[in-house]
Amino acid sequence: MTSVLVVDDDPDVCDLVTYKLEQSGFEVRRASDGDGALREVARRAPDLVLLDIMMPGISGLEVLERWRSDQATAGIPVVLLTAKAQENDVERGFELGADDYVVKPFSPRELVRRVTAVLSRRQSA
Amino acid sequence: MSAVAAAIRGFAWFSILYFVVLNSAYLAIITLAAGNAVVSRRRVSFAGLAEIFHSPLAPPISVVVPVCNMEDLIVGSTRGLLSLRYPEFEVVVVDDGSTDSTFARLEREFGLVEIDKVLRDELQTVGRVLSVHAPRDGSNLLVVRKVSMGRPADAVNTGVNAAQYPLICRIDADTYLDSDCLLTVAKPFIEDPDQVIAAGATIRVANGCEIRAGRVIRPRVPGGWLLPIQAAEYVRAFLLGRAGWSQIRSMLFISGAYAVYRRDIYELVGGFHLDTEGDDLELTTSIHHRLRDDRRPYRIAFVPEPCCWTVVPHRYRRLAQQRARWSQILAEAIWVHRTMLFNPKYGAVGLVVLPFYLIFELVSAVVEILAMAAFVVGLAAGIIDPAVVLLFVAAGLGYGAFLTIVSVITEELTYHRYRTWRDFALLVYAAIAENVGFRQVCAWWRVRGIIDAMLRRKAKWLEEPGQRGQEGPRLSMAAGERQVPVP
Amino acid sequence: MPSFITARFLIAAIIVGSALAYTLLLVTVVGRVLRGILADRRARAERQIRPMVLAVAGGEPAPPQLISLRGARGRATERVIFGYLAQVRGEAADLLADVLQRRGAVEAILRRTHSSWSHRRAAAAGRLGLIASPQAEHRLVELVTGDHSLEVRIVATRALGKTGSAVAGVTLLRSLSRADPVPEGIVASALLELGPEAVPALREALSGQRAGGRRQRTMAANVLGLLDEMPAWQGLVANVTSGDLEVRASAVRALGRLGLPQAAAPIAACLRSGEDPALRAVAARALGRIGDPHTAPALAACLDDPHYWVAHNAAGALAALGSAGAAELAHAARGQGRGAAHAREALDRRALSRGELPAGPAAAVLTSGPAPDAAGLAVGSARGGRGW
Repeated sequence: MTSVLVVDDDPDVCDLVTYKLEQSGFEVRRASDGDGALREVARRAPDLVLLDIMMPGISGLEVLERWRSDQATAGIPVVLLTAKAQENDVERGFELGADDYVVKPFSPRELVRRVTAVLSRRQSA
Repeated sequence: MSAVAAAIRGFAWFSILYFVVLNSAYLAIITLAAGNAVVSRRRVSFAGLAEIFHSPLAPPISVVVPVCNMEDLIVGSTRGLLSLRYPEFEVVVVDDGSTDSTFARLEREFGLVEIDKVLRDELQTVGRVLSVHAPRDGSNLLVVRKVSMGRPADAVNTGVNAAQYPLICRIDADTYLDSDCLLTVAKPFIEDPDQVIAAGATIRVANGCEIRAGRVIRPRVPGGWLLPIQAAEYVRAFLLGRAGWSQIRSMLFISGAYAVYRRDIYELVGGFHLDTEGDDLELTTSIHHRLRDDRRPYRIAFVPEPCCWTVVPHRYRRLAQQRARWSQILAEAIWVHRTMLFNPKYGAVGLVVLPFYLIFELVSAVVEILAMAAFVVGLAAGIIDPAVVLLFVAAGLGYGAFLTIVSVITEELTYHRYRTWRDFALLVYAAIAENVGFRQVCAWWRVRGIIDAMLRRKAKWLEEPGQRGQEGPRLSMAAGERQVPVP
Repeated sequence: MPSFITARFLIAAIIVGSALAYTLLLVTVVGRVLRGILADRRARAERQIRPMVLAVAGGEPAPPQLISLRGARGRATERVIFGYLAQVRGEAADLLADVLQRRGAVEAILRRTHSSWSHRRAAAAGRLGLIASPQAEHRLVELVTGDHSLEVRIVATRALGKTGSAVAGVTLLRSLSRADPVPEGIVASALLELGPEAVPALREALSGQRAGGRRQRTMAANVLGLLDEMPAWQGLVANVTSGDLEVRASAVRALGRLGLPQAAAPIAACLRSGEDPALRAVAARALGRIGDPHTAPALAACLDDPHYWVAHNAAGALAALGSAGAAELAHAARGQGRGAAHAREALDRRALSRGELPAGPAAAVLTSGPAPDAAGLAVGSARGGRGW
């Protein structure tokens, strides 16, 4: 089963995403901040990470940067979760190697579609 | 002899009456403030900080930090400031003639290089600027070195002349900001850019808190005698003066406040004045004075959420200097703006706030000292009944302790930043302990401050260069990590 | 004074005072404990309900209990639903809103917007923003235009921003003309959140047949710039050449944000020395964002301007203009006086941003000279933040 890690400090967002992904057949793990995300990935690398940018403590972009600079985690696909009008962050995210982004408020269905698309793109590449 | 006796007795009763009125007035303001606190908590759910962070409407801020001989704190403090959460801001550190390694540490830590910089001359400054530096990595820091004139006001004005953004925030190097502090205090400016010209936020005491990388991780009330009393004082003072006065739209910031000003207004009143000590109190008074003279509509906002922590003196002498200085500032500010007193042209500020500060904040020190003298003499000479003395204790001290306890409870019920029972108990103890010795000694220092003001002595940097090392045990500090020493 | 009067007085004072103090302390303790219990109970109720609500959001049919739950659990249900509603849009949002409708919650909220307590109306209005129905929107429009309480109008304004309808845009702009308007920052945030839906109303207010007054035009220009709405550029340019100073400045600022080269010429025209210095400062900044090298000479002419922000922004803009700008700066830097100093500062900044070492100060640090800036510098760069 494909495993996805959801990282967001808002538990409601995590709930919604987790439910929808599990409904679609993914195995889902959660983390509520940057530290947690780093730990989870170090423990067992997921097949994809859904990463919120705006989090207290370490921001999502910092976490992404760390992953991209480490050989072991550089290849994990990352989809960013951003709030509206966070243009600069999205640009920066792509510079750092994110694969896609989803704007909040989001449509859970569309999110699953994006996740599937990113995964299949990676597989065929 | 009987005339003197009558005078002493008369004064004794007067002082009892005075303190009853003073404390009752404070109680009324606290009730107003408590109401405001509850309402603003309800409002918090209506607009999130995350929205503001991404709001393109958030105006950029220049954070000005005047420093003089703060080699221990400066790197951690600057790092903390640079990592604040805010879309666009800069940090301007003004090195006011430090003789220690303050600048050297900054230079090493941030890779500073000297640059060409054209300073504005909108604000009058005295000390010559020696050089301006920026970090090689292009981060938003500016370090200005200037010749010291022994006046922090000069350093701040220089910093504002070097700043590039429309909002100015002045911070001392020993003040810690929560990462959302700028966002919190920017809210009123975002919502109402036309009218809001300044905004202040609540400060609490940093001593005893767990601090890491320039951030207060866990707020805690410090133990001891001087420190918890000051912690309780700050809780009360901010609840009282700020939240209360802002309800009637007549805020005056106190000394050592955390405030953000619109730069054009700051320049309009000439920044911090060099011949008065220059402090937020004097500045806001000037602002009220000037804008009402000009008949401009304006608003000074207050954001009650605590998001700023300052290190308070834990040594007797430093505390004495601080309290004398505050009193001096207040006296000077009232004197400079005396035309506002009881003048309806200046609205609530002239009719209520400034007179209140004069009669109850400034003069109370004098009344307290004289009352103590009167009671001691009166008791010794048998002129005054011991019961009257006890009445004074109840009306002045007991009532005062009660007020502080009410403030502490309001804090408990609203912001609830101090989490544990121990913190709460310490604050209650402090409320009582304050009235048993602390306020009397403070009154003495405050009177000295008033005398200083009358003698036109210039207030200076709180510490002369070279004294810093005696502050207290220095715990191991790595890149800004520290726990503020509690003796 | 007879001593027994004071004694009684004293005793009474102490008793009353202590009683009050103890009561308050008790209240606090009880309050803390109650707060804890309440929070626990809420969390427990919500824990049972969340999975059901998530299922609905995921597309499952709503279980009948979700519709029929009343009392504490009913309130918990609605809290949970609103919590999730704030995060989703599209089909999930519709399904959740449908549950609310079937519970009768929408009617209840609409009723509460007629309450005589302003804080209740405000809370209800906030929730209406999450319900994307024409009914909700209509009621919010009524509240924004007609409610007496400023607090309610503020919340309703924010809520309208979330509805995503075109009517909301028109209402919000119109609300600026009131005598006691909602602070403009809040209106701006709401318009920004509406985004593309608000654009027609904004363009109309800016330069349409029923173009609005000064406030509307300024707001429209600012928001269109922040929304990156390129097609609106002509309307913006039309407001650059003449009119109210504030409107012109916001139009220039917006065009700077859009970064379109066709706007360079009209903005450069604003640099003329006859224009208000605030406008010129904003124009210089905007030209830096647009980055058209042909504007370099006009900017270079501003370097010696006595107004600090005009010179400073012109230097900064030249630094962003590539080699043409750098050449002008280098030329100016060799001279004497303020203009040269501004040029040198801009060159140093440019060097740092490119990872190079700056040239450093040529002489002692220079101040900008005796002429104070005009008081007219209230608009634009010196002002607390509109579209900086």
